[in-house]
Amino acid sequence: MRKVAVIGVGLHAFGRFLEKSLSELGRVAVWNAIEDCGISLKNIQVAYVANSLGGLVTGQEGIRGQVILRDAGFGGIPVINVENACASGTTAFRGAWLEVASGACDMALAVGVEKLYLPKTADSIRILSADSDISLRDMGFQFTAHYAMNLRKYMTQYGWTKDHFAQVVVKNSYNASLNPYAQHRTPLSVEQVLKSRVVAEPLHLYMCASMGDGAAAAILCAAEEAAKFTRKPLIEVAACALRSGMFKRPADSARLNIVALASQFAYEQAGLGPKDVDVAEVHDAMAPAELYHYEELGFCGEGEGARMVEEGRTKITGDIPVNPSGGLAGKGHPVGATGLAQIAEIVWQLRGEAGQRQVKDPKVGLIQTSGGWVENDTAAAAVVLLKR
Amino acid sequence: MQIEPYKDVYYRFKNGKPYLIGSKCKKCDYVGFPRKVVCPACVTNGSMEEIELSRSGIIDTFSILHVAAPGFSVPYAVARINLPEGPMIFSMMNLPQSGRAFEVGDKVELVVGKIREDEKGDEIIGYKFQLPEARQEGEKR
Repeated sequence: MRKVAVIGVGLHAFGRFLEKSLSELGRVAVWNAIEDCGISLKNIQVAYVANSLGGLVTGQEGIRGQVILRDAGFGGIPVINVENACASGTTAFRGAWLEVASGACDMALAVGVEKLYLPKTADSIRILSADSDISLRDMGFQFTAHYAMNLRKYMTQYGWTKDHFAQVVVKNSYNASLNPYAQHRTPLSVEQVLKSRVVAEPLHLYMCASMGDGAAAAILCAAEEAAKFTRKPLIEVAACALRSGMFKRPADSARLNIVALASQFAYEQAGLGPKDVDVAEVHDAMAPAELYHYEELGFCGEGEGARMVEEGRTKITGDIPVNPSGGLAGKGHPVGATGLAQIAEIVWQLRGEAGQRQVKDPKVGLIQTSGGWVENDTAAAAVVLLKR
Repeated sequence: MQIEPYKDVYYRFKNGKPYLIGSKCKKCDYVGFPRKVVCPACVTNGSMEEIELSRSGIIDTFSILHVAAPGFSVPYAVARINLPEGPMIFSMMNLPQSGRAFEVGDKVELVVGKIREDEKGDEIIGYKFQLPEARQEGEKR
């Protein structure tokens, strides 16, 4: 396998864009990525296009990637459509990485696009819940409930409180306030979070990602060729792990679930460990979920997540900053774009281009994305390690 | 009108009482719900045999939801229930109409009742759990 570098990243801002099409969102993100590295569009030899729910939202069930990229100026090259729920973007990134790493081509594009807002929120909830096994959805499953149930277990077992949950939102809403692409740019206080209405006990509204529209893109290039195209610091893909759930009785320990197993595989692939990670973007579709992701990723021991946020260790100024972008609840969570937006944030951080959100001199960054739910396990778990 | 799409798929009645249909591996004794053909533990094709699961289990965790997809009335409760045979299952819960709310560790029992309404307003019936001692609304026998 060849070494692969991420040479360009770009976003369309996350938010509510009822009037914009998937193509329009995608075009903006793709061209921002092209302009970020200064390549010609014609250098791109293959494209992976991630979108999860566009078929249900727009009716365009097939070939969404080709429809989206046509308007961005592409034609002729292979286009692969990717769906893996909330991990769709990270899965597209893996496809592009494998294309270049294998030597099949020198330059590949991964782009993720999503539109979730509908005039009625209940319809959005129904569509979003189709990223779980729909036999569970039809019996009442929702992602808010899923995260709420996970977090109640930690409250019962380790004494985590709603105050800890609110502290995560305080941290991430502040980070999002510094992010020009973020959907929610107002810093929140503990009191504001706990006064917002209860959505799924014990989760309050401001702890949860809203519906979101947006797009994100990354351009990957053979590391040996990258200097021809860009003068920016080269960001290398150190590991790219994707796992599917075990679909058996769930493991008792966080260390054994599929997110933890994907991270262990990624660390081995990179020859790195949790202590080497200088900055991380994790999948906090409900902000407090960040606390158990700390331990799944090896940043702390079992049950110690709440203490990490209490001690401020995961702030931008802490020793292991997590979600400097604002995370999914702060920055927004247009499902298919999410993983590639996480990649973009880590690339900016490693290059030193993150502005007011800049973490001090990071060398290794981690991206973790969880997609969907099938019978007691995350359907798709992705962990990517990038290094400067 | 009431529609029962999950009857004989996820549950059946015996002597007027519902039970969940699980499956058990002939080779390694792994118990799964819903029914499977290939054992996910020892990965043997065709080794899973249908069994009747216990009518009661223990709440591992739960949530009460105040937002919902069309057809569900809020608030409604969901839980993960540990059954003595091994499976942990996702289920809607009947909220107690009086008395105390349920908690993690409570013993709960299987009932069959309304899950939601479809577009035409027909009631979709399925399995749920509830506290045994509480008076309940909407239970179907």
